[in-house]
Amino acid sequence: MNAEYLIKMANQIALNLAYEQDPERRADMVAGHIRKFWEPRMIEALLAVDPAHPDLSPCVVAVLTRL
Amino acid sequence: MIGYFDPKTDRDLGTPASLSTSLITLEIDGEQVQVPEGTSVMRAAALAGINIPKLCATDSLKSFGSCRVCLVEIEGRRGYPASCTTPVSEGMVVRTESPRINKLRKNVMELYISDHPLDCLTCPSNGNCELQDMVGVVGLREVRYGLSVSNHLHLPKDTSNPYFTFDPSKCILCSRCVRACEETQGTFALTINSRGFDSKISAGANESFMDSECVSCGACVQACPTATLSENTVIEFGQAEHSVITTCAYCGVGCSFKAEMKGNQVVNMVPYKDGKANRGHACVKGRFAFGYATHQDRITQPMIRDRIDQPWRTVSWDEAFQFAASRIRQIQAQYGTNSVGAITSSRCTNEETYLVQKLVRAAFGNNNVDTCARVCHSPTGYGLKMTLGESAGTQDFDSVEHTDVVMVIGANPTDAHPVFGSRLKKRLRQGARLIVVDPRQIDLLKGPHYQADHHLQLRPGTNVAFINAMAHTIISEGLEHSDFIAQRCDQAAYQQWLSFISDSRHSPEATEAITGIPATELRAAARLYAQGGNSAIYYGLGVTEHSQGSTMVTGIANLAMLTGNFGRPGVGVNPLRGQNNVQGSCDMGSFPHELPGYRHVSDSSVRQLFEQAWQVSLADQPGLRIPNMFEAAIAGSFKALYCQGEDIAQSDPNTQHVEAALGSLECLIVQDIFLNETAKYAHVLLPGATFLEKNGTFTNAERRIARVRKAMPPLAGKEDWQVTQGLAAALGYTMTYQHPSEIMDEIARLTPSFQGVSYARLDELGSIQWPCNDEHPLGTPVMHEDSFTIGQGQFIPTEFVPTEERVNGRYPLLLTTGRILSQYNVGAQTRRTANVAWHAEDVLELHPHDAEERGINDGDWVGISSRAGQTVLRARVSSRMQPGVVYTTFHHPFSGANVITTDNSDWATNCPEYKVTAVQAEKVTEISKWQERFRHLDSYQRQLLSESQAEA
Ligand code: SF4
Ligand code: SF4
Ligand code: SF4
Ligand code: FES
Repeated sequence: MNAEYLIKMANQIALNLAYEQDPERRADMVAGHIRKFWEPRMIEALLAVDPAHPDLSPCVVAVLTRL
Repeated sequence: MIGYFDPKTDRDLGTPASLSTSLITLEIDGEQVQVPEGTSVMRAAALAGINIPKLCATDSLKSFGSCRVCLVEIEGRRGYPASCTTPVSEGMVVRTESPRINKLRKNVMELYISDHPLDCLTCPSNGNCELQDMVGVVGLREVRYGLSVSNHLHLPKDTSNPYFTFDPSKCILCSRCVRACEETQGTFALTINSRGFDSKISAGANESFMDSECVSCGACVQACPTATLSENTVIEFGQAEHSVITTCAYCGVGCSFKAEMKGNQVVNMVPYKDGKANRGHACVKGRFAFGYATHQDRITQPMIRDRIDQPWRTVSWDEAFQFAASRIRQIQAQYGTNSVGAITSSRCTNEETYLVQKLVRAAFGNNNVDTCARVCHSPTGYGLKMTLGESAGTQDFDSVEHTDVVMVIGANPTDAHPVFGSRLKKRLRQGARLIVVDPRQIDLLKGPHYQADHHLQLRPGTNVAFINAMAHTIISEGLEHSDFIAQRCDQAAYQQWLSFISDSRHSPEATEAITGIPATELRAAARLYAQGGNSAIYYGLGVTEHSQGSTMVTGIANLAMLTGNFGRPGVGVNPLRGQNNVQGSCDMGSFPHELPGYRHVSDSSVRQLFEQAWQVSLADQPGLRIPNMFEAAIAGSFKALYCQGEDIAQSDPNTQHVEAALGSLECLIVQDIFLNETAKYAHVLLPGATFLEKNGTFTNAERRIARVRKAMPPLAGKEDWQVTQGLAAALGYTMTYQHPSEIMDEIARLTPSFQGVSYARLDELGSIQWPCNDEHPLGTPVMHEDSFTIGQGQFIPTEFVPTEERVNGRYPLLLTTGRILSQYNVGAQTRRTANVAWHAEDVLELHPHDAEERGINDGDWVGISSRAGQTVLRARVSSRMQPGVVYTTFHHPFSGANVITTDNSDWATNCPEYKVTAVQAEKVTEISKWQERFRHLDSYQRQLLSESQAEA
């Protein structure tokens, strides 16, 4: 699946949970949301993204290791 | 089998019920009668089985006392008081008949008849005329005045309305129509012109009905005791001979109707008095727009084709099922189990929706099922579940009668939920206060005898900043309901939220620059909401269809908890649902991550329950949501889709993207009543049945489960649940339901909130609001009474994150989309009725300032472009819009409104952001490229369809 599409969605989730100020807890919440609502092939495609990808928000980079 | 439901009472008791609890005893014709204080003598007599003659009284309207045919004798009182306007009193002794009373009544009737055309035998109301009945009851035998004196028999008919005719020569000036338009509908379109002999009912200022304010709700037609206001179908077909009680299939109000039938023909639809959602009222769609059911465009036979550029082949049901099933199995063999999925419909019944998700989970073997609620109210499910624990509105519609402050956010009830709109306006006329939060000037803002206290005209896309400012104001001014918060809400969550919301970045002064709402106005509105008594929030798609739809729903729930507005009549959080069964389709497990009853697929104990019942093992990972299905289709990993009763090619955003996705499917199975836009990309076309042709249930916006009853056989031979069952059998998964009641029994067994629901129970109670279980055997009108479903209410911080869809030099305007009264959703049904008289095409509304800047005049062709695409619509210059904001509807496919909407979506649920698109508008002379292609494809696919039908 198109990586840009998934990166945009993941970033958007991270942004909307930004009220959680502890970065660890916030990454957990984002990962939890993704596990709850994303179909496995979407998660796989997100995991295939290079963590150095310039569009990934720092929070989502931390999420990658939690999925 | 057609099941008839026998209504408990359909008698007109003359005047409305009194709500008083203290009882009065009186004597009527020698009988002791006990009734609530405030009851009229007429109603008391009717309750005792005595029908006092009447003409101007009817129990849906306040009594008026003009016809004088209802007079009675009361011991100790002089004269002959009108029984409809005389309230009962303790010990009263009433006589309803005597030679003197009869003589007076005869005189009254004689006067009416002397000015009435005596063509009863050929009159459309023959057999259903109250004037005729009363003449019979009083025994009038001669008319002394004759017809030679001046009369009104020459007055011309008004046939301007496509659905009813006004024949003033038959009018008895009882003013029931005038009062129905005022009291029931709240439009005030009718008046009695001048006085005495020249008096005449007129729409507006002597206009035709069509040119007046009339919204064609039909309340006046229903109230008229004579043939003066008659449905054209009754004039054409005559009086019905039986009726079937059923539920409207248009909007989420879920009005209850009597389908008045003659054999298999619907003569007219009469809103059912005992229907708890509508209390005997209806709108132009449900009451009149049923002609689509017998429209010549209906698909009547299953059809298949190998490729979408081939003509359709008409086949038997069996061949269609085999063809579809073998394609699905081939695709799964080649691309994997997860390469197929389905979309359930919010227009189909609960039972049908349940079966489609069961087919996906049990026969396809995955969770790739979603519903069109994805594109409208999925954020409601998310936000309310996270904060309160249940994905549904908290009240019944009756609740509004106890509301002191109504806050309507991003909803347009007078157009999109008309019957609720009327009930709301009634409450506003009684003095409830109103706050409207909407970028547009909506009709609700001002009506006869009321006016909104505040119109917070925010910029599209700034909802969350607004709701945060409301909460901030309430906190900073100390207006929160501390006891409620302490007793009912989670304290840790509240403290976290409190420190979030107290920050000055949420103050109205700080958010004013974002929302455009003046801080003083917002503060005043917040005070009113917090301190005005029972405050209720009603919201619509203007809340959900945003990139922060879920956040906004959460913010609304926070605000209601903060002010203690939960758990009793008059308060709460009330989503106004778009389509008739949005609530039901969500309840029934249409979401890819949830089994019926909103239970996550990863919960092994829930899975086990269904695995045992369905005799299969179930996938434990969420499936694809609709937008994800499109992405996967384009990426090549999603190849087959079964789409029941939805037109995703027209209703979903970014049409060209959707078309690309549909075009890349190897098997698209469409089940619908018409060749819709989606069907143009289909390989299998399965004819659907309208709500008149099947049994089942719908669940409306107040969680009310109501029966849909079959009034005529399905045109193509199968109800929709039977079609799904046939497809399942061809896939090798057998379902053996004989009747939808058996499907409901299974739902009740497997879903705690439906535990007490059955068809027998629904017949008994009329309708049931879930949860219905041992604790609430009669259902639950008001939720969260003593505690929230989740236990302690959860405050959740709601950070405002501006949408990426922002205006810039290239796209300087914001486009927002909406609905209008006479058309419904993608319009497939309403466009095939006379409702087009009100809305023949979608137009672009824009502010005079924006129009002038671009040299655009009313009626010009305007090209609207966004980064997703371009389309052309006609302009309507209107100051309902703010400068910089333009508006359109998407009821007609050719308009291509969704060609311009983008695939931006809600962060939590992927609900598309229909309400905000950055666009440019300019004057053009020809249609857009997309529209040209659309025209071409449309005529090509229609040709393929007619070729197949010629063959058959
Ligand atoms: S149809 Fe409805 S709006 Fe029109 S005049 Fe009658 S009651 Fe009023
Ligand atoms: S039109 Fe019908 S309801 Fe209205 S005043 Fe005349 S008779 Fe009565
Ligand atoms: S469309 Fe809605 S308001 Fe109108 S009759 Fe049907 S359910 Fe009622
Ligand atoms: S019915 Fe009582 S005055 Fe007309």
